[in-house]
Amino acid sequence: MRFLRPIVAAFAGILLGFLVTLLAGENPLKVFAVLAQSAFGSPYDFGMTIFYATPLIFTGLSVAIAFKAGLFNIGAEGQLTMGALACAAVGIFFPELSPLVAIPLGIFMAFVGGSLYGFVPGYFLVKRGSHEVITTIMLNFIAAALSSWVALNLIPNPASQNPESRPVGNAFLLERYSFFQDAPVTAALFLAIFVVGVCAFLLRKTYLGFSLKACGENASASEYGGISTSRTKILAMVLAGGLAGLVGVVEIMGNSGRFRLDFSPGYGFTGIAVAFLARSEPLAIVPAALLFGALHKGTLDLDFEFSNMSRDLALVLQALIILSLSADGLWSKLIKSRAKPPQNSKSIKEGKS
Amino acid sequence: MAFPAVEFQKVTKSFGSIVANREVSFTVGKGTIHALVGENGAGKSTCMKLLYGMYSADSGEILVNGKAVHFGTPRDAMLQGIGMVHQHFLLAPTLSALDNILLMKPVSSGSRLIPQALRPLSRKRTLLELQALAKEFEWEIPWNQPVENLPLGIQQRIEILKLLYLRADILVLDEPTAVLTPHEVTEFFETLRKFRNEGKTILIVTHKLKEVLSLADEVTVLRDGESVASCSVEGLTEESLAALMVGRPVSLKASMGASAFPGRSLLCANIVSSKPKLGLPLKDVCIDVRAGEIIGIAGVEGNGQSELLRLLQHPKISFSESTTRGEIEILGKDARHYSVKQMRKMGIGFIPEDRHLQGLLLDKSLWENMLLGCEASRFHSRFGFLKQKELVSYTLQILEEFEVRPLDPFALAGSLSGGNQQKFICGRETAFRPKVLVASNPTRGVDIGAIEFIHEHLLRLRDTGTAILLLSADLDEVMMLSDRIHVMSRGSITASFLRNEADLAEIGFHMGGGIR
Repeated sequence: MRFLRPIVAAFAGILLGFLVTLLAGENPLKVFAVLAQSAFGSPYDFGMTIFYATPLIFTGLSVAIAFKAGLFNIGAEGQLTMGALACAAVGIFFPELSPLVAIPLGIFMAFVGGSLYGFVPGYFLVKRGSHEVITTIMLNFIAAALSSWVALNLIPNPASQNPESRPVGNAFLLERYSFFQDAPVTAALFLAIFVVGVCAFLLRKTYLGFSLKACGENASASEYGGISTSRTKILAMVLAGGLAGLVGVVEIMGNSGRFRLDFSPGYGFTGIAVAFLARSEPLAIVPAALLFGALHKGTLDLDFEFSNMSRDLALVLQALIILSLSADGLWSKLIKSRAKPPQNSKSIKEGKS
Repeated sequence: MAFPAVEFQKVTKSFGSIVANREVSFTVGKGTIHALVGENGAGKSTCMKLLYGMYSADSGEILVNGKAVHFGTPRDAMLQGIGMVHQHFLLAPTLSALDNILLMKPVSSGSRLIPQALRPLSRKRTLLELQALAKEFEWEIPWNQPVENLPLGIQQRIEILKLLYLRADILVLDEPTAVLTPHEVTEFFETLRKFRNEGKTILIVTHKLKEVLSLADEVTVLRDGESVASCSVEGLTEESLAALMVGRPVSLKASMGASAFPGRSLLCANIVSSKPKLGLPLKDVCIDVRAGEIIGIAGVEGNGQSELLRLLQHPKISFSESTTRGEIEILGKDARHYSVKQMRKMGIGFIPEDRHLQGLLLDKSLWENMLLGCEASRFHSRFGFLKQKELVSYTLQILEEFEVRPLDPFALAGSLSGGNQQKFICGRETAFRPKVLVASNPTRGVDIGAIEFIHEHLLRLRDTGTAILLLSADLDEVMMLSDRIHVMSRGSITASFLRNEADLAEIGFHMGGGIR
């Protein structure tokens, strides 16, 4: 039941979405066909879907890890900006490094850039009691402003009309897989999957993961149990920031090779939806991110094909999926209507002494 | 028997597959005090909620004054003259006592054309009426002060006056003595007897058997949702009543001798003063617990016990504030700058006062909850990898030793009954033989069987040389287990007694702040 629900919710959301297309006067089947074609129709299209999904894996993990510790990280957008900026900066300032050094260094800097930016709201939360939702939202704006100032004033690209930084050294660029034609699918995908594995292991098999979960479920019991909740909360935000920062690897090292302003189409915010759909389970983040990546890529072509449809359908679908997932009352009603006597009633009775 | 005021006839109520009340039948005579007793989870509160219209029965009849009733809401019950004082008072804390009563008052005056919500309140008249009512009992009530500033004893009086003012003649009281000092309890019982003599019917829910015997005329015992006995209290003893509740003979007095030989002092706290941001300031709290003895702290709840516990649990935070002055020594070392983690590393067991809030992760399995104990470090490697297998088998061992049901390390902590949860915590905090144990209300809300078990365990622990600090709102518990007793009142220790000099009346006097 636990695993079924997000899947059913996703389908329900998409179905509801087609009702919307019907209201707009388009044929839902045709819309769906275009969507599927555009998301999976060719190796290039599929590659673009993966390219959009990879950052969502990182931001989804970022939100999920914070959520496990009881924190709501709205700041993945700002953290990924700072991660990308740090990654670009090291690539610009040390262009001559050998790839063996450059690539790990780039990944490391992306993580550190994001995690430092995640540390800030964590620190203020613990020391001053500032709520992380407020601070992370505000820090998103600061990240946007700060990064554009740094990119346009300290490391500008004189050769370009676009608002972007200088390109990083070639050693920092990851190779694109030719199977996906021109789509920027690189080893960043495998980095994402590897990180998912690390997070799953961390949460399940380590004391640190236990502390995070314990702190998220019941902070005062954790405190009694000898877990320092303030340290754990800061650590959770640092981790969350670092994970979001890894988006920088996808963008800088895997795609454009430079820091472009506003490169993210809201990965940080979509990450919240991804984490929610995956119920903060690291392993479930991958399919959830893939779904939202496909929605993003699939809806890009709607503008050309239909007069009454635009790419904003992606947002509508996202919203409907989340709504149907969170329609708790509806779910309990559905379950109740076909309820069997619970299997565990015996153990409850035995449990009473 | 007098004319029945309330009658339950084979009332059954189930929630899902769990039957909370199975064919419960009893009769409460008009003008009597009737006690409803039973262990936690026996179905007492379900019974009361059925009577008060908060639930409706699946089958069976509830009769009030001889007529079958079907209450949909508490309002219906109130109209029939039933009033209830809940264990946790339902007063709006920021409103004054007067406003709290006005809130409940049905406004009858005024034209029918004006909606009820818009009719004027007759504050002045109500106040006069209430003052007259309070005068009958010689109660002083500060009517215009916010209720949250008033002591719990006064709040309870306000709740009762509210019912009387609303013309309730069947009073349902849920655990009414939990917040009172022994002296206040005596007074309160006097009032209840007075009510009875005036013809009011009182239904009192309690787990304190002594009170049942001294106060009630009749008693109904619930066990596992069924009414197993309903009789006059005459001829009953605490033991026989307890046996009815549990279904087997129990010994209420843990067999204990005095501490054999207190050893060196292991936990020593001398708090000159401490003003936490939240809660009561502490002043002149001096405790010295030696190996192999139990020091009991008696006191009405909310007199600084939580603050003291907080300070012992996490000295670092308290002592980093400039308002805290004093010393804490644990195992002979200065512990003023210890964090919880360091306290845990020293091997100090804590049985917290609220097991849901501070003791357990309800959504996690028991073996994961085991990691909240002192021995967490034993179960992960240097790099933080959990040794799950060892942990699970160790948990199972604890469950067996402490008779926790179900015997399943993978069971969620939240699925256990209160008694089993408490036994689990007790096991987690004591199985490794801590040098020092701080136990706060270790048997609160726990059934008699578990109380027996935990008390005996604490004594055994003491005899093996553990220094135990016991904070409890249950005076009987403190008197029974402690080798020395301190009384805490308004954040200070106001009196201390040796085990054999302790006198209930004297302790009660100090618990009430030294006012007779």
